[in-house]
Amino acid sequence: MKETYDVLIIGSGAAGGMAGWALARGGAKCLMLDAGPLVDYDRQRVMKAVYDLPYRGFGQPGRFPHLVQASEFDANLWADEKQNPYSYAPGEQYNWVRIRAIGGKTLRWGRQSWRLSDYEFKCKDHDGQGENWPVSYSDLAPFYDRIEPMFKVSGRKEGLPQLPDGIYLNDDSRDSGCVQRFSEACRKRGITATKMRRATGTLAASSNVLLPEALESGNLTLTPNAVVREITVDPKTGLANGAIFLDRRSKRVYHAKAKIVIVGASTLESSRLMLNSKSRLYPNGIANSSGTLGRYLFDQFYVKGSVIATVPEARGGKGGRGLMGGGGYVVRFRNLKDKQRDFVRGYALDFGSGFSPAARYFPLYGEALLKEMSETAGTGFNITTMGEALPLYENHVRIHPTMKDEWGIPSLHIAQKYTANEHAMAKDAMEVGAQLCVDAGFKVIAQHPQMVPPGESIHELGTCRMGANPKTSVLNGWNQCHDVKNLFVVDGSSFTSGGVQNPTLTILALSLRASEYILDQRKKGSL
Amino acid sequence: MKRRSFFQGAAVLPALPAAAQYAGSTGASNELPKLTETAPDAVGDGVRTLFTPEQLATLRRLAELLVPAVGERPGAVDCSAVEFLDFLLKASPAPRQTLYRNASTRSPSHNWMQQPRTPSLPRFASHGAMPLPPILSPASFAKRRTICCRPPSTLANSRRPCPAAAAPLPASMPTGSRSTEKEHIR
Repeated sequence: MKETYDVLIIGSGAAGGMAGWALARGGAKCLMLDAGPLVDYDRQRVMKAVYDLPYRGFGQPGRFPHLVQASEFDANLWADEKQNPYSYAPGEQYNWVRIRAIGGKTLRWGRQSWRLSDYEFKCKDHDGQGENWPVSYSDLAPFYDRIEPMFKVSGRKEGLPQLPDGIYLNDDSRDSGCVQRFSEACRKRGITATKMRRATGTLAASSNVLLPEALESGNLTLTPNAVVREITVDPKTGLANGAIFLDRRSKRVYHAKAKIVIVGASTLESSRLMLNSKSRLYPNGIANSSGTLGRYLFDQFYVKGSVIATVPEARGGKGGRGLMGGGGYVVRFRNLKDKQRDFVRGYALDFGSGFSPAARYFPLYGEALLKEMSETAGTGFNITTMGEALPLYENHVRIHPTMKDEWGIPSLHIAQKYTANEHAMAKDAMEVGAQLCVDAGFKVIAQHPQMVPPGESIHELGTCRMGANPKTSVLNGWNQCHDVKNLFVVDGSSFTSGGVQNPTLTILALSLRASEYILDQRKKGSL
Repeated sequence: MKRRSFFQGAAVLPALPAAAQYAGSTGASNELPKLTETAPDAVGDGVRTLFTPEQLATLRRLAELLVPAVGERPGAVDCSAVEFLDFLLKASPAPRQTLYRNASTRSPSHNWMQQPRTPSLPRFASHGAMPLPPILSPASFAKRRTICCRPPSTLANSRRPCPAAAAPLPASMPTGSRSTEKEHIR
């Protein structure tokens, strides 16, 4: 008989990594399982020229039909869609982006670190839509305060209620000319453009910020290549008592035992695991007496290149670093005090400058096209829209009746559609963005309101949501299952609503808060 | 014994093995020699696997028109872009192959906004000087599901839906393409 651990943590990314960091350092004996390998980048990373790649950088066709981020240069990093299949209804494409390796998606996150506000936590109080979280901003603020310094987040304070300030490495760097002009155009319309708030450092991943200190404590056992199939339950108590996992390579089956189980396997993987954990006590999946496990899937819709403009003064190579380069973030401004006619909630804009617009932006071909591309090299200004998607009961994941992954674990069927609210918002964002570019003296060369398929923003959230009412939610305000007191879900699946802010910082805060609650409850003897 | 002191001891041994003496006499180390290699692209022409000769000719003509050689800058044809496309698409899922096959069997005067017509290939490939219909707007978001056919200004102001918007590409089509804009995980 192997050791029964105090805590079993499933997943090693932002959610699992933070739980491991807090619990192991707090004295709990932890076992962390992750489906992927532990990659030694220094030894395994190889730089190759394009001509050394069989498909010249385009990648093996068909290997990643849903993963626009994957290129032939880093194809090994992403979860193979043939090994890890999923389904969606015809015409309702869902792009599920996964990394299976120690560190999870923090190995490649964009490091944008924004706090949620009570416009999200108490959204129902504000506009009557959706559901409030069982926590408020003041509950999470102390945890945000501790995490931002750990991840060395840089940014500029703005004092806005919809985007609370944090503890930042103050970013007072000078903006380039075009960013200054755009920010001024925003200011004249009562909109705030600010600096990016971004975790700095070379990697800022769970595997270099969180896991080394957790392992140093001597209380964390890290086991890669462990594909968890189901959470096991003690039939006498109804409590979770461990998990069945398979070795990724040999497919040998094991059972690890623990007194407390924390799930942080990523939004959809966590719900898939719980839905697959069926027993006599929990015939519809563990902790699913409410029937809401898998329900209320949402994310943030992205419109990539909502507006593409060029800066006329930079044409012909006159840009330079003084005029072009850099970017920023337009803070949500819709539906705070005003009320839009055709949509609720709002969006933020991410802008960047100094790129060379691609051929598809010019109605030209041949020599004329090449000349125009050369003239406009380095003059590009683009806007990406990031909008709030409403959590809806209809948007859900469920277990596919027949499809299984390489390890024989039933796959997910994913059903998410954007509604008229999101489409109206995307259109408004495009119009506002284009107007701001015109105000700034840029030439708009393309604009469109078409969001990428759901999932592609890699901000998938919900499906195991928190709530005050056990009949309409899976977790309580401590990320603890209403039904199973020693089972916690600490990743993005616990979100009740998501705002427009990139979710990782909030996932870290929720996981840290839940982990310290566990330590506290263990001390009191109630867990 | 530590590694360093072992080697220090070895250096003063009076008789060296024969191989080491050879190495010393030619001035070479024990490293293997680096051989110069040449990529297959540089020594052979890609053999056609997917497109018909007529389709290849059409694509070659298109490549010439879209990215011609200018001055010392090689054009798409010089870079064997068409042969590479033939190889890449042969390895691609069927819907993508069909898309390219159908598109490359259209005549030069084809109205791209209408339904496909009967193909008439050789004419296109041979009509070097024939002017093409003007491109109406940048296919600015062609890599998503639709190709827009009206200028962005009219698109923004118009209430009518874009005619191409109702024609989604197959769900299984890869949407990825190289892009000069920033695209990263957030």
